[in-house]
Amino acid sequence: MARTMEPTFTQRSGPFTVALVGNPNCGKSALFNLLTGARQKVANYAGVTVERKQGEAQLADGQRLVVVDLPGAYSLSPATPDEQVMRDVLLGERAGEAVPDLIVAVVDATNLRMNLRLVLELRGLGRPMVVALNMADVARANGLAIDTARLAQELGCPVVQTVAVKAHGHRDLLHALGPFFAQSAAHYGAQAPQAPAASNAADLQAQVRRILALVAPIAPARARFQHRLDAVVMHPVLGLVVLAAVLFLIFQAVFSWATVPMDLIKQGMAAVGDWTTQSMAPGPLRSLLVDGVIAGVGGVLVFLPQILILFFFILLLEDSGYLPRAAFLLDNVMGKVGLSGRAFIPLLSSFACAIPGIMATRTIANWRDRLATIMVAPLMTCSARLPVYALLIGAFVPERSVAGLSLRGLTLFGLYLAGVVSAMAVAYVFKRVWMKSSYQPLMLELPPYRYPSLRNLAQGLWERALIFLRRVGGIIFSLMVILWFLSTYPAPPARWDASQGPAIAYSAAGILGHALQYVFAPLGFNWQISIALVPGMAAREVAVGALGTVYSLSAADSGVADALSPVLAASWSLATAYSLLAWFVFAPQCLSTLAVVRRETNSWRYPLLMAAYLFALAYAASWLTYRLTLWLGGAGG
Amino acid sequence: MLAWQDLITAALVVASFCYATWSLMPARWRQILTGAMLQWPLPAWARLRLSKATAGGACQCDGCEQSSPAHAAEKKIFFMQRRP
Repeated sequence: MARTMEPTFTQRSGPFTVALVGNPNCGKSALFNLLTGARQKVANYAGVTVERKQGEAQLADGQRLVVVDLPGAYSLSPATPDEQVMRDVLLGERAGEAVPDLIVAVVDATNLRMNLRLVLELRGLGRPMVVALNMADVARANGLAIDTARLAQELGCPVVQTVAVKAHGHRDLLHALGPFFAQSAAHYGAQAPQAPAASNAADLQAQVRRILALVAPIAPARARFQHRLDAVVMHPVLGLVVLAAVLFLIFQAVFSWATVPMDLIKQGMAAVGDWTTQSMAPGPLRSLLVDGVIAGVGGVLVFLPQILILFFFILLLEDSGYLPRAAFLLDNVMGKVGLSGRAFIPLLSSFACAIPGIMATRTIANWRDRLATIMVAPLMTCSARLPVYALLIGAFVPERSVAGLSLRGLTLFGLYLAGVVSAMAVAYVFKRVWMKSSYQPLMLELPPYRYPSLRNLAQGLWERALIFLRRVGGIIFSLMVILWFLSTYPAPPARWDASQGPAIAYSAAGILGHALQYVFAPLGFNWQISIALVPGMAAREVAVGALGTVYSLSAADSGVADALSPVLAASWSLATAYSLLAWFVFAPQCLSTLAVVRRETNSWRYPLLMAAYLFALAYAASWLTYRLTLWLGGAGG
Repeated sequence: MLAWQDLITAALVVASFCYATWSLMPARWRQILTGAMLQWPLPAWARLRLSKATAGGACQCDGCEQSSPAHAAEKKIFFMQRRP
């Protein structure tokens, strides 16, 4: 049944376009990164890429190619919005986008039975195609011998073995692409793709079986070790214990491992602050640098080690293949609150940042399920909350052990748990009252366990560090400078002295803080906290920097620039600190998240509703926490 | 007469205000503003920088710089190229 695909020749201009297509989690993004030098996120689970990405590669003869990485799909009949993206691009039905000149069908060599179905459907489009047999090393290690020459003959197109995560085979792939384009640089086929014929899954599977019998007759048994591991990890009781233990370990490590690097950064910032104070004459620039930049920006920078430790574990879990198993394990819980099991990965992504989490909901086919997931995604504790939590826990939770576990780590675990429980509770209410839909069963391909790739891990951590540093050096720095200006001017009257209160009380920020205090006083927030909440709207961790700047300008000496924690511990009550923690569990303080919700839902209704319900929840939770802590005797501090 | 500290401070505050406004304004406003600014007789490097700045923006966290799904086909993303 071999068919060859000869390109037709028509006039064209610009570089050729190559589309990477394949099942989810077959290594398309890793191959894309390898071909283009890009740094797209890759992980060992399905649904990481939900949007087409584009980069450039170069053939051996210097010819440039545009490479498009498409979301993974199991078939050309789309079931979810991300699969629709793939189909639309391949059929030229996406506005303003030309049909790709060539398809590279990326295939997981260890799972040909599943992957070849899509390849057979792609063959039906009648477009030039090359098959990249990815993860060829794992297939070999599993004892799977694939006759690539015979496979090429059966599929009617070149087949190249690749190992994208180890940077193998991409040159062979580019070499195989060459002949398609070498015939004429100026004239190359751009005929319209044939509409895919309605494919019968049973017929396709029969063809796959026939081909497999020819090219890989001996299918290796799945490793016994993986079965044994799954028996524990996916056990309805033991699995939950393992999951809780893993999360516990992460939050313990966030506090215990970060102490040394955080102390080093603190000492570095203190030294820079002292040096600046000693080497500059008193004046506005010195105040800006010491009270604004070092106290504010430095106060946020200190949390870099904790953020990197958190992401180290998240990346480790992503690469190992554990996360989809956790999704399977929690499907029962998700189903009970009315969410789709597919909501797990978007909600998990929201631990890094709600924005990619909200975008990842495109893998959810049912609109109501998708909307419910979008609405609760901001309740998952994003990494921007970590500096706020760490600051307040460091100031108010004593450093002691409970049953051999750090109390601070336990508190952080509790706050993350509070986010998850709130998200489930809100989803339950939404799905019962507003977004009713029937339970959508979870169908998820479980990837094999893999040793995490050190290269992916290092690259992922490097990316996270860069993102954090760009935020610190960009939006956080600029907001701190503006806040310093608003906290310094107007200056106090000429006859002012320190006995009349801090100079900041006369400034624009001071006046605003005192006005906002009428709203926030029932929650136990003072005017300094009220000021910090305003720039915190841009990014949550700015609130930490803002507190640093405001307290630094309120203090008689520059000690606040060195350490904010002891100052807060001395000036706030325990009830105020707990109330602020409760506020940050719910607070809708991220304009970017609301903007992305507007974009993904194509309506202002949902982001406004989200902001309103989160604000109401935050206010109610803070008030309750404040009153309860006062009642329990938490006023001192 | 303003001291040198006042001048540098004023410049930093104005630059920070412009940067924060640019970063936090809605993407559509940023595109309109860039379109208007590109009409000015700017040097080539400034035009290039301005064009690139339109695509980014926001608060630079994960996903903020992702293109809109509605405009994904129109916005091209270019990456550093690795030679084969």
